[in-house]
Amino acid sequence: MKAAIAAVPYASVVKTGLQFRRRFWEEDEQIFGGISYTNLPIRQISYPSTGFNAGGKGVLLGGYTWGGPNSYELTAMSPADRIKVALDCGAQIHPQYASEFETGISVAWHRVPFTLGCAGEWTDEARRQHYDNLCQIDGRIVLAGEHASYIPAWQEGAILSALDAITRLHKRILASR
Amino acid sequence: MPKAFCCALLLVAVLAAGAAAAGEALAPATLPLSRGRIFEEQGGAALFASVCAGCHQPDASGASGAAAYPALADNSNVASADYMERLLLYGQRGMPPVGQMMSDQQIADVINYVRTHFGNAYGDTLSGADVERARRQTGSSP
Repeated sequence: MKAAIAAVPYASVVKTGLQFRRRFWEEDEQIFGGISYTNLPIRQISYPSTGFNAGGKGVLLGGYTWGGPNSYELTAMSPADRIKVALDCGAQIHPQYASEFETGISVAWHRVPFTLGCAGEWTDEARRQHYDNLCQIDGRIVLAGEHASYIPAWQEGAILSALDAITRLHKRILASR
Repeated sequence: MPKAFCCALLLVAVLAAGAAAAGEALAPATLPLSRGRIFEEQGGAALFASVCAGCHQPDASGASGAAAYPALADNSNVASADYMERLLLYGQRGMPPVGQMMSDQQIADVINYVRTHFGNAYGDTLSGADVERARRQTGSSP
């Protein structure tokens, strides 16, 4: 299990949220929810799926960079610099960014103290070598989470893994009675 | 298609005006951003600042949370260039295999940089050819 734990690195992911004075994507461009996929370092802009036509302020997911050089480069920047990048990139698609931006927030998962990374990054080879060992009950230790599932990074994987771990633990306790 | 191209040009023009008006908010970031799947930074210092420093910190002092990013400063583990090469090519625990997004020379450069800065002073250096050999032996392509 130790070897299996050491063999799964964590994916580098950065998200940036941007608050604007008005929901210009709805008011000017009739965009209601959905995502603009780009070839820029921000990768995508995701529009809110709630509060349509409510007027007032709005928040966009102004960047969602998963893996690749840009995710590391953004992680190495200060949150303020990441927001500058998100504004610079996003303004190439929505010129309203320049006049409507209010404030922003940025998270790089490798800098989140309680996870130090976004999600388990498996390869087929690592799965073959280590997955079964990672999911064993080893003495008093049993692991559960997205990293111990075939749906890494998703809540579904974490929940399935939790159900699986508890089921196996329960069986083992009953068998030992 | 030509019409679409025209619109794109127009958008760029509008953008330039917008960017100028916003001033500081749209100033370029301090670190470069690569355009492809390989890091474009060249040289140990630039690679360290854009890749390693994100977790190990700009002064290589490391950081801690649920677990810890080891300090690279004054770390006796960096005595072995081969060990570092292995970490870059394959990753270990939370660390992703960032060397898979670097050329042989970039891997050698950033390892040599760390081993001669932050209180580390090792005389032996790794060459791009050394890294190329390690990749060939272990089947890890860039």
